[in-house]
Amino acid sequence: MAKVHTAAHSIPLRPPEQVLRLERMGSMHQTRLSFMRVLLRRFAAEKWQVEKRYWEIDEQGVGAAVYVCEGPQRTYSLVVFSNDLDPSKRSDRVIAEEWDATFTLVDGVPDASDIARLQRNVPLQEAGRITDKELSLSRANRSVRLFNYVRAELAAGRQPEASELNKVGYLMRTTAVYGSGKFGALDRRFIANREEFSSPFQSELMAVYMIRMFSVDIVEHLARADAPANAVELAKDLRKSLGIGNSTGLGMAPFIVNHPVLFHHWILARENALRDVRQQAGLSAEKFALLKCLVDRQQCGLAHWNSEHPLQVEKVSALANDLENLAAHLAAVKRNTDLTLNELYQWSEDNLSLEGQECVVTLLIELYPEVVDQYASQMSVNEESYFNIDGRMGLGTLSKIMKTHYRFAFDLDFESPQANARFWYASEEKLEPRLGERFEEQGAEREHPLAIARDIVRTCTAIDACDSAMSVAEFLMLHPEHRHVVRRAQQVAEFPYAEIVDNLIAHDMMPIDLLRCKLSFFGAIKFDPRSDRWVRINMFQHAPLPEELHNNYDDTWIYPSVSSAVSG
Amino acid sequence: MIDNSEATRQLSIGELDSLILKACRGAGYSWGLSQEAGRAAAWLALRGLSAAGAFVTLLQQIDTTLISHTPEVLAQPSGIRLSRAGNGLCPVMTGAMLSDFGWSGEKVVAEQVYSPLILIPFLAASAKGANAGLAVRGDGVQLVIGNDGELTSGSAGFDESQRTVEITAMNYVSESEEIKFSRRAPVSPAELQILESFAHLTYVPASDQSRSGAGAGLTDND
Repeated sequence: MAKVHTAAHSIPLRPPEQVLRLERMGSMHQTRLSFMRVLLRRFAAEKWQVEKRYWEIDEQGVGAAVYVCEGPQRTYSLVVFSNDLDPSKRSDRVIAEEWDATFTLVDGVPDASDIARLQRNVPLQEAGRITDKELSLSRANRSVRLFNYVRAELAAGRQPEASELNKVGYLMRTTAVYGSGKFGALDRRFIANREEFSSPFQSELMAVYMIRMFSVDIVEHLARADAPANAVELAKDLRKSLGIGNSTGLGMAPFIVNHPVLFHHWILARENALRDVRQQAGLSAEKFALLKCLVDRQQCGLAHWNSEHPLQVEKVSALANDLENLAAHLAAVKRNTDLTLNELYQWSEDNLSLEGQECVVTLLIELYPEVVDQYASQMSVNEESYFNIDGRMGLGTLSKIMKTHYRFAFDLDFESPQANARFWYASEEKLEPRLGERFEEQGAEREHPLAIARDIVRTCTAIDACDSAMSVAEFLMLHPEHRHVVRRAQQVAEFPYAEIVDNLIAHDMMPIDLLRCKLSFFGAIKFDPRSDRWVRINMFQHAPLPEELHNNYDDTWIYPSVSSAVSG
Repeated sequence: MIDNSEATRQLSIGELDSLILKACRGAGYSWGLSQEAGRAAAWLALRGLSAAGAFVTLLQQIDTTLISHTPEVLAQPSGIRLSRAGNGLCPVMTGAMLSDFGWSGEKVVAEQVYSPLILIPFLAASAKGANAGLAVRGDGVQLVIGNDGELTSGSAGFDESQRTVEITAMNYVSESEEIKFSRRAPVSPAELQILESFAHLTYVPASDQSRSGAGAGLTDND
């Protein structure tokens, strides 16, 4: 069981009240422990075969295709339904009803009857049903301008300009990847014990990796249909420079709040990794060179981190500045043995923006795979084991837990409209999570239990009015309305990274901070907020192509090589 | 139970959990108790028992204004008696309470429990937590829960609308057998309609303001 143990280490873990502030969560970057990097490391180590197996798509781009990932023990298939979409129907919102392509990941290899069944359901997405043979359901739209440009260039027998590709970074953008149990899919509990799914979200990301392959195959297919005699295939280095986009709204935000014990394990793995690296003595010349190289490559990647959102523009510019300072700081180090990683980390806290500090965390973790990679297998947990409430706990103990772990909440004034400004709810229209203004909109009485800080304070007030000799069970008999936060408080006592140390209903809360944190654990890059509650990202950009997984697998693929950036 | 197997919806376990959670919340349970209800439903469905039917019966029969009312607890020399004057006991509230207190070894009698099947997952948690087998009797029917928290016999009779349930310790050590869990939770169209109508009460009708807050409000043609 993973708790926070610090006694045996001279450098402590960063405390939750430092790590889990929204502002810092909204500055987190991918790391070696991010789920898509874990997936590709497994593909490489176990020599998974990833390939297109079936392609029945017409000249208009309508039809079906199947891709497979074949591992040492099992095979998974991505079934694709490709569409010729009327542009007026192209929306990145969950309220869309038609997409350029829809996908499902099948557990095994589908037969003709499976494909016929999926054909009737997958294109409908939420309005269709999948079964316990399927593991995920998703859809994607073309990034129209870039897609059409690449199609035209390939049809004309030319390669597209790398600089044009880099502006967007992908040909298609997914707008939802539904996993465990959704719309009839198999629940994760039935596959959680498979080795390949020991890290979170591996089946979803397996699907996304194959969707990336499809996004290039379909543009080449259409270019060939346009000009059978002239069309060329996309050059390999350009193919590799394209990831797959994703457009994500509020729907994803409540996940990390609704899965506190799981979230603790994600954060703990990352913090353990950072702590271990900060403790390493005697930086080798090789690792020092790698560090400087990664700073360079990170700077190159930054050149293509585009956003129009003023806040993100400011953050990216601060990060650019931070990376320059970091490079200068490292250049001033004469010998590798003069550099202590803990001092470097401390320097980052003293000198860099939060974006820069969290970027340093990412780079430090990168240096010691032999130390940190073990933590990737500790990022899943059977949450059910921690569901039951310990009713025998004394009320005094519970009150103490609340006042210790949620100290910040007691400094907030929930009588003020600023602190109690918003409410989370599910919309009748699309059953998706939304955030309302409590004092301006209808529906606050149907609020979802995400106002953790406020509810903890309310529960504590109720506890203080009771006899402290009471047990938690007796308290909950009288006050079942406090049950959800009592459960959380007992969990956070054991799993201190389970709770965000901020008010999720404050008037100035930015949901994109929640999204960024979760997506960084997926391994997303190039966060591009479109509003305070909507973000576009890139996944698997620069990732090895299937044929590059087995020989000389480049585990640092996510940092663009200096040459690819120069050519862009 | 309403049988319309042709159009029976095969929900995933997670979908059932979420549907029951929302239905109970819509019916007036607190969020914390609704979470317990969803989890209890998932527990039953995994073991091939009709969770949806049990919750439909409960939500249709129980006076939902009284849902969270606490059972009256009477400690007697012969054991603990739970009751609610003039009314039956809610299996979610009663079950959560029994699970919270943990199994003490003393006999428990819960009078007139609605949909007593729903009580079983909570008793299973108690049995597992205390590593004790439990015998559960209800007006002529009986089942046994092993010390691993698994049913050792069928649950016939517990799916009826209301029963007085008697719980006693039983020295039953489970054989460590791999349990074959059900992957699907069948829900009939009629059950689905009832549960969804309760779940619907948790949703907020859309407004222009809420729509504008849901996304970037941009087209995806770029």
